[in-house]
Amino acid sequence: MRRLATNSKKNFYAVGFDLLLLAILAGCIVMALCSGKYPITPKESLEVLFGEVFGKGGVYSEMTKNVVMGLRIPRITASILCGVMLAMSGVAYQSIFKNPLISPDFLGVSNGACIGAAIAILMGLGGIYLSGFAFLGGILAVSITVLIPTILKSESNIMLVLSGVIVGGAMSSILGFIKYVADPETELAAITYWTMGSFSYVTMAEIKSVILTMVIPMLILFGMSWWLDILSMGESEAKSLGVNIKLIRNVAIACATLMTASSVCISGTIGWIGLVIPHFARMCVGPNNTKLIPTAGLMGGIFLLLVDTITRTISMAEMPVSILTGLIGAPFYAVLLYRQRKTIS
Amino acid sequence: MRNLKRAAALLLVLVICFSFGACGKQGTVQPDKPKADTIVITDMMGREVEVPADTKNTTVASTYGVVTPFLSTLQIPDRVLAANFKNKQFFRLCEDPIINTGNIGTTVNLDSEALAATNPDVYICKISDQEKIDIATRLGIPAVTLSAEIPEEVLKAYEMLGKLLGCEERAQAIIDYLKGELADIDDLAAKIPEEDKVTAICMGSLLSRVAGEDMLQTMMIERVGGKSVVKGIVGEEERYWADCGVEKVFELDPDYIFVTSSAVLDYSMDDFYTDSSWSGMIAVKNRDVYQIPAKLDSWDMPGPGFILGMYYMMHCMYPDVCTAEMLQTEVNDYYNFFYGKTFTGEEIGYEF
Repeated sequence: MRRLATNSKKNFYAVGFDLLLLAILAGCIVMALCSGKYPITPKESLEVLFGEVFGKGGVYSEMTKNVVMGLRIPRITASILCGVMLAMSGVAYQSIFKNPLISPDFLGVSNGACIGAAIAILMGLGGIYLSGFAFLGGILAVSITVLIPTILKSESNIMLVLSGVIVGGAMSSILGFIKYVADPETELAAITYWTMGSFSYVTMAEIKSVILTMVIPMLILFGMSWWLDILSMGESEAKSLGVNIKLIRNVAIACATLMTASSVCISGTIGWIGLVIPHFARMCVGPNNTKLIPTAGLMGGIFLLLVDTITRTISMAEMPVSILTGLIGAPFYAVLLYRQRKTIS
Repeated sequence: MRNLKRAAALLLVLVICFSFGACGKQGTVQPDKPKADTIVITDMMGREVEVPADTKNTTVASTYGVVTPFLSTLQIPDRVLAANFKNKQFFRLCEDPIINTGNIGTTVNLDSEALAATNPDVYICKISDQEKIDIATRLGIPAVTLSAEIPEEVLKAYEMLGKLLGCEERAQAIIDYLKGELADIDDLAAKIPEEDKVTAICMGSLLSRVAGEDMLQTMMIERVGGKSVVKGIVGEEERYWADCGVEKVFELDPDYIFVTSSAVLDYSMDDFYTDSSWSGMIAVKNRDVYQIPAKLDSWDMPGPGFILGMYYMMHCMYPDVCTAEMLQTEVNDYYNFFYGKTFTGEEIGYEF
């Protein structure tokens, strides 16, 4: 009876915490709409939103409308979605491999996506084509990673991790070669800029092109969060409960990979979110995946939205997102590790 | 817990739907500037772009460094709202007011919000910058592309900018000047007997990288009477540096080696003489390795400066045809015509 009461209290706390995060996210969206080098007041941005969505509201200038609807809305949407995807896939990977040091790109998805994007840049392609190449590159890299243990007839997680290291290394070399042959003033700079992540050129068309590969795996991951809890107990415990470990693991990896590849292909590689946010969320709501996944997702969305808003506001030229996520993420991760040192040791 | 999931999913769906929905309908929009008459110009990608008809008052912004000398030499400083500089020091020495214009990003990255805040009548970018064109279009700012990789394109670029910015007279004067100089160069080159013609190559940022047969530097060598040794050597892309390898350069073994000043070098000029592996080359033996000036304003960059690069190459290869005095006169005339000022050899980075 007491345990039931405690569980219900914990659930209530988790729901309350997530509602608080939702409120913070809503506040951040309004703040992001009003922040930027083009001056727009909160009133103006709300007028544009109401005017454009419901066809009523105040009078606003054409440029204000273009900035809000053409630049900020796509950026805000993309940064929230990418933050959510990276954080959730980070939780999934860390649960599947029972390793808190694993980030969503350890199976080579980011390296593969970088190669795809770099090839597109060399071919002079941009926009949706660049995203498509990056997505295919990411999926191809993960497919090779998954194929290696299959060829070696091993189902071990360690084999998969090592396979990820092999593919990641090979992809880095290929990327190095592409960078070597690229024009240092234009293509190399574009490839480097892309690999550091940015939402500068994101369009609604690009978001629409990946929305299904983001939302469907995310919903599946939501649905199977309870199974992930069982999986994180250990293979023998899960087997004793009659769980099909291989199936759950493969579905979870496929979902997390699709989510990561979809976000990488519209934003470039953004580090630290899939690593740090799951830890922070775990500290707040505990290791239970049914609570952890939505909380981490919301935190990821808020974090990346804030980072993107800062990068496009503070400096003269826009800063790549990964610079700031690294600057914030690294010390933040160190503090988290310090606070969790007893648990880890 | 289920409620929590529903709430989170609902929020995401709302955010997505709101964003998509937001793109579909229109509200009450008031134009920033009074709706002006427009004209259509064809840019250097062959795109037809609608631009303000009041060209004499058209304001412009650019992230493409190559465009800046064009805008500076067209003498419309009040109408340049933002520009990107390869070398600010040169424009500072010229006391050109263009130095005080704003910044909306670099050749690689356009700061879209800064472009919106600057709100020029026209945005100018590189021909391959499709993403930047898309951003400007989303903001309702016409985007015009420019390319100046070969002499003919430099002339076309001036013609297009003259029409776009209502300074046709100045643009035509520049075109006439450049055409006249090219004709003079052709006349000088015609005086060189075929048997006296020497071979030459232009090195890029790496010792293994040379200007391909379709690049400006190779065209400059050939136009001034040199024989290019890079026939059949082209870059991965059109008009791009070719990574042919050091051994290939040894095999080509030209009489003269020119080194570009349009890129940051991964080696020093001394390397040609101190590295023993280069000692067997004719150009090194004869100490005929030259870096194209100048430290302020590159003479082998896309832009009008290629004229000086041509005279310089001709002077190096055929000092009797293009003497030091002739080169100095041409340099002074050029800077006087384009920037209303002359520079000392020290300022330029070349002693006559």
